[in-house]
Order: sequence, then C-alpha cells, then structure tokens
Amino acid sequence: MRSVSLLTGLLLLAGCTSYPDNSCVLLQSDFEQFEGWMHPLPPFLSTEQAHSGHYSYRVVEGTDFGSKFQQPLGVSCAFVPRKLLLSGWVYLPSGRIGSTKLVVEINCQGRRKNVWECLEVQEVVKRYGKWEYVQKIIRLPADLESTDILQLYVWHVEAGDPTWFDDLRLEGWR
Amino acid sequence: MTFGWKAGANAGCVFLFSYFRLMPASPALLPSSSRPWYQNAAGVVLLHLLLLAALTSALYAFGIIRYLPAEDTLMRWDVLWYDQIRQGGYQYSADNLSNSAFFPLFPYFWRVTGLGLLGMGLLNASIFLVAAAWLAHRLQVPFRLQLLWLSTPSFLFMIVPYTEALFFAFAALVVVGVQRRQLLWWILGLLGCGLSRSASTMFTPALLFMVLLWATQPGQLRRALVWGATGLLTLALTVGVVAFIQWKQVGEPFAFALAQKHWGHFLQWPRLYFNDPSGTNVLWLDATALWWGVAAIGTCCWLAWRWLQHVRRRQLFPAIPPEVVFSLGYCVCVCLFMLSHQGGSMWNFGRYVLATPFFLVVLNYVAAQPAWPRRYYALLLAGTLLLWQVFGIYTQGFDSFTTPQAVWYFGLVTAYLAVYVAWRQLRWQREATMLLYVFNLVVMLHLLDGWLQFYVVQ
Repeated sequence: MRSVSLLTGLLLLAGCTSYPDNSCVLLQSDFEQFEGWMHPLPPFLSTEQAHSGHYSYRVVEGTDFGSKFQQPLGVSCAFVPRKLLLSGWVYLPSGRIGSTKLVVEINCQGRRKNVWECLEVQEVVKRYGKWEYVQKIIRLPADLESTDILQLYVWHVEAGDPTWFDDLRLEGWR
Repeated sequence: MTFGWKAGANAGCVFLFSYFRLMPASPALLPSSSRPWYQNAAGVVLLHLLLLAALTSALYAFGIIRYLPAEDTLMRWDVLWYDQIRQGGYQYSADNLSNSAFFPLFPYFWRVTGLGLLGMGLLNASIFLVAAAWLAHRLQVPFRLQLLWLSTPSFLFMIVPYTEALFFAFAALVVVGVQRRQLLWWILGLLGCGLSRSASTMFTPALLFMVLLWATQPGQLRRALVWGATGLLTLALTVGVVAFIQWKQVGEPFAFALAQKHWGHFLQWPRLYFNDPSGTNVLWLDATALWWGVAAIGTCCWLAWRWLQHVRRRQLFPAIPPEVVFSLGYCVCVCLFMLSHQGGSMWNFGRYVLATPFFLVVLNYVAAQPAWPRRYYALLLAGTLLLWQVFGIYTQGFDSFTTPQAVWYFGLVTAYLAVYVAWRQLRWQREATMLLYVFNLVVMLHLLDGWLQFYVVQ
C-alpha cells in the first residue's frame, strides 16, 4: 500500500514537472491587442460580434479567405510539436455559411509536402446566433522543422454568410 | 418453413447470422375483420400521415420549425439541377459541376406533369406513400415496425422535388417482383431505377450475387438464370438510354459518369477519421447506414463462404429469399461505393440506404427471426463500439467533442440501432417504438426545416 502511494505521488510529481516542457502556446488571440496600434484597424477586425472584449475576427460575406496568421514553428515553441490543439469560439448567423474551414497549414518550403488540416466549422456548429466553442486535435508528422511556417486562416469554400471567430488558441504538444 | 443447417458449423460468426436459420416467416396478419382500421399497411400509412400532420402543425405553430415546403422554399440544393434539366435539358462541362451527373427520369417526369415545385413535392410524397403502403403490405411488415420505419428521418427527401420517391417506387417494384416471382415487375422496376439514378452500378453486383445464391436452391437454376439475364439486359438498356439522351444533348454519351468526379465521387482511399460535411445532426443517421452496410458486408461474406462450402462439399445451403439477398447486396454496394469513392466522407449514406425499400426488406427480415440470446447482442455491441472508432471517438478525432462527449454521442446512436435490431425482442416494444417514432419525426422536421433554409443536411 505504501509503495502504491509512493508511486502515485511520484507520478503526480512527474506530471507536475513535465507539463511546461511538453506544451507551448503558438497562438492566443482575443483580437483586442490591435487597438491603439494601427490606424485604421485591419479590415478583418470587427466589433459587430465579440466573445470577449470588443473585437473579433470576421470573414465577410462573399469572401473566400480570411486574413492569415503565420510565423515559424520555432518562434513560440522550443521544440517541434507533434500535436496541435486548435480551439476557439465561433459565431455563425445561420446555417447558410456553406463550407467554412478553420485551416492550419504548415508550409515546409518545398522540403516536403505541406501539412494541411482543417476544422470543418459547419459540421460541428449547429446553433446559430450565439458563440460556440470548437476544438480540434491535429497530429503532425515527425519530420517538421522549427523553421517551417505555421499558418492559420479561415477558408469560406462557398463564400456563404459572414462568420466571426474569437479567442483563438493554438497549443503545440510534444 | 425450415431448411437444413449443419449443427455446430460456423460458431465464429453464428452470432451475426443465425437469423438465417429459418426462412422469413413473415408474421401472419390477423383476419381483417378482427383488426382495427389502422392495422393494415394502408391504415398504418394513414395513421402516420395523421400523426405527422399533427406534429408538424404543432411544431410550426410553436415556432420550433419555421419553414414548410412551399413554392419559395423548395428551390434548394439538387432541385436546382433537376429544374435545369426539366427546363432546358442536359449541359455538360468537363471542368466543372454540371447537371449531367443526374439521371433523366425524374426531371423529364416533372416536365411532363407540368407541376410547380410544391405540386411536384406533393406528388412525390403521394408516390412514396402509396409505394410504401404497397411494399409493407406485400412484405407483411408488422404494423408497429411499419410505423417506426415510416418515420425514418431520411424520408424528408420524399417530399421535395428529388428523385428519391420515384426510385423508391421502382425499387419497391423490384423487391415485390422478386418476392412474387413477377418477371414483368422486376424488369419495369429495374428500368425505372436505372433511369432515375445510377442504380446499375449498385444493382449489377447485387443481382449477380442474388442469382448465384438463387441458382443454388434445388430446382431454381433455370429461373435464376432467366431473372439474372433479363435483369442485366434491363440494366444495360438503362445505361444505353441515358447515354443516348446525353449523347444527343451534350455530345458525350458517358457524361453522367464523367461528371461524377466534380461531385467528389472518384476512386480514392478512405481517410481516417470518417466525417460528414452535413455535421453532427446528420452524421448519426449516416453512421447507422454505415452500420447496416458493414453488417450487410459481413452477412454477404458469410453467405459467399457457405456457398463455396456447398459447391465444394455439397453441404446444405441456407435458403435466403432472393429479395433479401438482393437488398443485402445493394447495401453492400452502397457501402463499398461510399468507402471507395468519398475519401472517408459519409455524406448521403443514410439517404442512399435508409430511404430505400431495401432497408425495409432487411429490417423486416431481421424482425421475423427467432430471438437471439443475450451473448449475441453483447458481441454485436462490442463490434459496434469498435466500429465507431472510424470516427475517431476514442482518440480525439471527433472534432469539437471530447472523448467522453463523443462516446456519449455514439452510445446514443448504438442504443438507437439496438432498438431496430432487437425490436422483435424488446420488452417495452410499444413504448420504444413510439419514443423513436416521435424522435424520428422531430428530427425529420428539423432536417427539413434546415434543408428549406439552404442549410447542409444532405
């Protein structure tokens, strides 16, 4: 019994200490940080809807692509992640959004085929006119490098109704 | 009526297939004088219409559903393509979506009727209801099961100007033709199916499998061959007619096949995890269709193995009614097509399997079998829970659902399926039937409401 308790304690301690080394935050944005820095504000920012604060990321009606976030994997992460946890809040006015994808792409600059994964928003959000939480786990290949460019954007394949996104977060895991 | 069965054989898969031990002893209906008015096939359809009307009016009045089929709400999704063919015939583009992917019977029938959108929708619904009553009568479906089946949510496509109702009616003719050994019905049914949808792709392997097993029955070789030959010729004729129409109109005889790639239908490996562009409110229906497809594949594999044993060792072979074999074969072909041509998308699976007479044939056959012991259900349950991993439910592959949420979602789907599979043995059969009946109707109206608003539900 004592050894079991000791083992459990060690495991818990191991869990506590290893957590910070195993994950990193590649992107965390509530879209409030642009205010005051840019005049005029970038067109993708919207005050029509917001899950937190005043601003959200909007893809306007009839537009195929939203603005793109991109940076090398190594900028925010001390290791090359094998798994990404993409999460955020989505506001859809109706089901007429067509196919809307929250895309994570890793541009490997010709070294290998780009990684392309997406969260199909219209598949998972079935409540309209309110903010809904979405998330997706993305497994990455082992041969990525820290210089590979991470990109995040919204793709409105059928350019349907406008959509809003807020509090986007992308975590990397070993 | 029984047939020989080698005791102890096939212990490994007997749990799935033991229902083939008996010929389908369809439950005999009581004499008509002692039955209430709704306990016949037509009466059940009328009762269903009454209940559907009551629920629809209540949900509409309460604002829970906001749209009903009307001239201004029915021009949605594939109706646009059918209407285009109705108005101006076929167009074909080698580089883009075109209406050549659609088969001619429905749009030209629509043109002949001269009806508007709502009129065609109502005519479709009438065709479906008459065909459903006739089919249930011929198959002697127990009235509660018929009521449950009529509430299948995928039947929402029977009230819109789609080809589903015509296909259903002709497929019912195919099924009853085989069951009643009416060659003319069989030929007419195949002709109608082949002209209303790309049925020949699904029907040809099913037909060959049916003929193979049918010919094995004592004294049935000649009849099976005649039916097989006429069936193949009829399907070939439908392909020829469609090719001729498209060749005359767009100059490309196989435009209907070539256009498929632009609709995402081309040979490709299924990618894990499986998904459904329609989303979580339709995925469960498509997942149940997948389940029936996988069960049909297992059953057909077992039948093929038994057939081989019969040929090699002259062992007795189960006498499965040919219409059941054909229906199973159809489910297998749809399942294999989905897995090999949609890259892991389950889109429209439920519509292609559940909204056809073949589902009723299989369901009714299962319902007519002797009771299974609990261990069979336990094994089925284990297999089903394993199957759901194709959606990544245990490995965080089911987007926006945590693993417990995904397990709960598919646990409910499993419970839903269990009611259908174990329906004949349910202690609270009446209560379970009515619960699912109402649930199905609510879902059907919800999906129709979305479809009428141009939401993705197909």
